[in-house]
Amino acid sequence: MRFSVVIFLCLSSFTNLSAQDYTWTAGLKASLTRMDYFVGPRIQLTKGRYETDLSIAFGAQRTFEQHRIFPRMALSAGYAIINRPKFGFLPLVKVAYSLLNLRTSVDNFHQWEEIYGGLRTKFGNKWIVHIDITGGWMNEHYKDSFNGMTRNEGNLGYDFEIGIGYAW
Amino acid sequence: MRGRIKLFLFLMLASCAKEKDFDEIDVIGHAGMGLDIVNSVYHDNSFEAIEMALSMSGCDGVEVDVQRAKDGTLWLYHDEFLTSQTEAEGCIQQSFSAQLASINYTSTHKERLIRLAELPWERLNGKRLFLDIRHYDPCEEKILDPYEFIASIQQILPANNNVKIAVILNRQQWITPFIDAGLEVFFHVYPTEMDMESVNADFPLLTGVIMKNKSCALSDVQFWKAKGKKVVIFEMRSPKGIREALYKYPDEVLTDDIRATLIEKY
Repeated sequence: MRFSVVIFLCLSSFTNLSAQDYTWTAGLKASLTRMDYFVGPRIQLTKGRYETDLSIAFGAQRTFEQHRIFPRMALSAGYAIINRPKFGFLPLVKVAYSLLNLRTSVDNFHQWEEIYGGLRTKFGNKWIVHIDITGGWMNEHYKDSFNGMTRNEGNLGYDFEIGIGYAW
Repeated sequence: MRGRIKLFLFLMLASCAKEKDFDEIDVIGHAGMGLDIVNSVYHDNSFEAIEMALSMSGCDGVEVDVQRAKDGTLWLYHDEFLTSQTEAEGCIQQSFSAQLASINYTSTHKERLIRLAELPWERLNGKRLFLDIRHYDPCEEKILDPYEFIASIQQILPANNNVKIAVILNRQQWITPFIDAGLEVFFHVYPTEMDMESVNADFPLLTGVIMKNKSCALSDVQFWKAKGKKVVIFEMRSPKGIREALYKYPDEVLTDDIRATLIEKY
């Protein structure tokens, strides 16, 4: 439920923004979480002090070192409380979903949902570097091999992200 | 263009893949879901961590650290002193059950300390359970009596005889009493520091040996296998370390990252 509300808020800010004057930023990001180091492309929409990001990243250890694709989709929204031409500082909320198949003799999908809050600092005008520090709750769910029931395992989580993008 | 991108991704993912033949290697969770590993949800040696490890498809068992309290009950705890992981003071060996039952770890979930008898035995049915025996009382700075320890273990064994129980020992003097008690014994060996031939000659009835991943080579594993002993490798966290351990072809790996090990194995 909490997860759905945050997604709704993120998407609604995205929808509102697209009807007005806005700036797009596209680039790459790397983030460190409990489960892996994720790298991938991101796209951001900015209008005034509001900004919304969407990214699809891949777990570096699992995907590239262990050859098991580990995708993670993240959506975040923030409002800049400091918004200068080459510097910004904003609180943001972030939701993420990731999926990993720990298959043995059969498929065995583990899924993670994350809801985080935190801060973003960004530098630059056309080329923008940002650093996010967020933390919150993560939930892992998968099928229990003993009784076939779905297990939910919650834990504190974090996401330290750094990215670079070009704005137009 | 799209075809080239697909081909590139396929080659990138497949280029380093080696042929795997790890079917015979059992995956055992170190203290449940691992020790000192960031992606473990629960504290090591907690009921929750052990149950979670046993819920994962492909996990063949768990290892737990066993310490004997003053009243003879067996408790799962890794460190020497309670202060390092809980808000309590002292040692397990100097505490009684009533005190220990009220202690929780200082972790996110505040899991409580559990007795060996409280393990999820129905989930362990048919699986491996390693008991890493702590023979030393750090508060009194003395070695415990192995026969008292064995008596405490035997109190919980008869009701749980479908579990493949084995003990891990660090002290040579304890090997014979545990073997005489009918327990499977794995001895912790250090290939670079020990004469393995003499260990094998002195203790021919050992079930197997356990070695740290970094301190053993493929030839050490082959040595013990040639002697008819089972080999367990432990202390592996990164995918690279896990892969190195698997390519030594032990009988069991005692892993700190079950997820990464399952990916490497299958």
